[in-house]
Amino acid sequence: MKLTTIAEQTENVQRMNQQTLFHIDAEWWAPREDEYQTYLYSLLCDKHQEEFDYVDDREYKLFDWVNPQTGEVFSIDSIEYSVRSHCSSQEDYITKGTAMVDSVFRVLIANGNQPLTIKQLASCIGRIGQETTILRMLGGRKVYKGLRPL
Amino acid sequence: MIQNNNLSDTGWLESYSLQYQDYDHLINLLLEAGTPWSTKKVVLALLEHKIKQEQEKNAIESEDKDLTEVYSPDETYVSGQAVHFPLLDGLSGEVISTRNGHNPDYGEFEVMQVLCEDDITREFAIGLTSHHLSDNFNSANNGNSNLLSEFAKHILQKNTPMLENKIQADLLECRELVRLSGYWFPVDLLVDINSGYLNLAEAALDVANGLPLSTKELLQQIGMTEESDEELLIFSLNYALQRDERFEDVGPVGQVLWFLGSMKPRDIVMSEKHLVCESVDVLSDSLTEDMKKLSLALRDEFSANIEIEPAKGSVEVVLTYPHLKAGTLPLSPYTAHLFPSALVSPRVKITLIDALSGERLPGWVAQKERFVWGVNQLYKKYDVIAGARITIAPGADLSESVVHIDRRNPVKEWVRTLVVEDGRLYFELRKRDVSVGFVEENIVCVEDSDDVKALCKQLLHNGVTLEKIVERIFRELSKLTPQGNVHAHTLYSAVNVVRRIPPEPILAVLGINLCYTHIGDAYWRYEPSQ
Repeated sequence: MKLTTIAEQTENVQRMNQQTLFHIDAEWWAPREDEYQTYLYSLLCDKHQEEFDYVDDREYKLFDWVNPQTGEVFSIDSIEYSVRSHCSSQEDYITKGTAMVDSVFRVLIANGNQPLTIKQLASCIGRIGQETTILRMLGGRKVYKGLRPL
Repeated sequence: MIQNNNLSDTGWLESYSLQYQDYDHLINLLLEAGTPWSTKKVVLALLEHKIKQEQEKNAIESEDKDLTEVYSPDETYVSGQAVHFPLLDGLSGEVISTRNGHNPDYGEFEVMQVLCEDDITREFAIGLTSHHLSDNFNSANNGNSNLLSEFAKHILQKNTPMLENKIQADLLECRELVRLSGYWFPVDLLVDINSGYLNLAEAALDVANGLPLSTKELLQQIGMTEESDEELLIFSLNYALQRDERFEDVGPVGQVLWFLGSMKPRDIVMSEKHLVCESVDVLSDSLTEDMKKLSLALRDEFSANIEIEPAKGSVEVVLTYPHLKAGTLPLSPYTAHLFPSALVSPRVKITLIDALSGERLPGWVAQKERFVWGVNQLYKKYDVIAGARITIAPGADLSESVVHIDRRNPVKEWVRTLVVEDGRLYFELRKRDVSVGFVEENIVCVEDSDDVKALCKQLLHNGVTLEKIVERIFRELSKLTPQGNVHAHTLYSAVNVVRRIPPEPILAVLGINLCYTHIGDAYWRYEPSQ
């Protein structure tokens, strides 16, 4: 995989290489809080979607998520908690038909937004060999679903 | 909401260099492992060691600053207590409050709010006894943990080239360690491969019918497989073979294949002599843009500063006289993708396939000398001349290449022919059968190659300069056309019959000397009155 060839094509990509880590950028989502909640809701499994019934008023409960590397605690809401602790381990969480952007987002949410390299992401979403495509997507000018290099 | 999980860069990285304690540490690790480690593994281990040292240093500094506690998620802390966080780039802070943590996955635990020295309030898990996280931290404090390893990996991932180069350079200074094909091991711990085993290896290669053998195959042949760990045996045998002049590593990148130097075809050495390229410094200012384009079009393997996109698929080369005589093909940036490369082996063994007959011929890629040997048989078989078009195509893998000679029915052609008489060279147009496709500007035939050889020797012996050779050949070539014009590529081809040289110095002679007038396109005229 020669990512440097791609790197010459756009300004954004130029700074990136195989070691670049990607994550979900909280700052990008900050002004889109509602959209974020709706999107997270779509990641829930059927059982939890029923449980949360997004249209109605749902219980807004916060959970403490601990960064396994540093011990730092971050508050996540019940939907995000359910996605991480249950829905992400379901078989249909990422399928062959899941869009690439969604797959990457789902992987990062599932692992607590621990930054990953393109190679790791490709492996996690079952698209080994498509690293260049993923890099184009994440390294382009347009930011999809808040996925950005660290 | 999502939170970012940054691991800050560490300040010690820039000035990081190995100390004698690091070498001892690495040798002890390799001693325990009993097998060679890759450079990456070695770098990672040394980084872990360094991080541990830094953590200990930070902890001591924290104590000095009355920061009595190093953060661990299984401990509990009270308001007002100072805490140090080695894994957050040595950040420190003061506990301002605590509360119950809420996450069914972790069981019962607390969360402390810490006002850090950067004026940001952060929260940390404490009293986390039933979760693997605390195990990580406990081990981290002992300096031998998954967490430490993860952190080291993280640092290496962000600084791979810098760290690998720096650490490798330091390790190469250490006489107690030996590196082979990117793996390291203490030299004193290598398995002893005595001369008896080396003689057996020589015999094994001798009876292999000229085929190279892998180290593993050699181990089996000499009956050493039972003696120690296979990985260590392979490393030790490679080390011993590398130090013995009888053996040559002829494997491509990532593969070690051994061959007997004595079985290497003698013609390769002869080829090297034919293809020795004279080094002439050319000031880039002395070449016009057109001249540079003309040079690049010739695709000479010794042309300087060739920057091209990595090529793919088949490549056509126009044969020069030196390669014709040497029975070789050029190994240039244009053809490099068709042949295997090697980091260690000076020559890599390959198979060349005649596209017309399917015949398979042994070939050798000479990396440093920039040629591929093994096509002499084809040149003779198809009566190839200098200026012929030859297509090289990829084979089934990099160990094979397909050579396609553009054969055609013999046609009588007037071709420029170099004749040597009384130690002087002349060019004449002579009729001869040509049975291969060729490029008109590059075609040069030689009446008697022995005469040319003698002339080359004489020119070298007399110290005749390139300028003189160019002048002589230019004047002779100009007699072959009514206008007296000479194509740059023709001059390059003709000069290369008597002296192997890339096009740039030849064109520089045309550019500098006022006797040569550029009359447009790729043509020059000799006008001595200028």
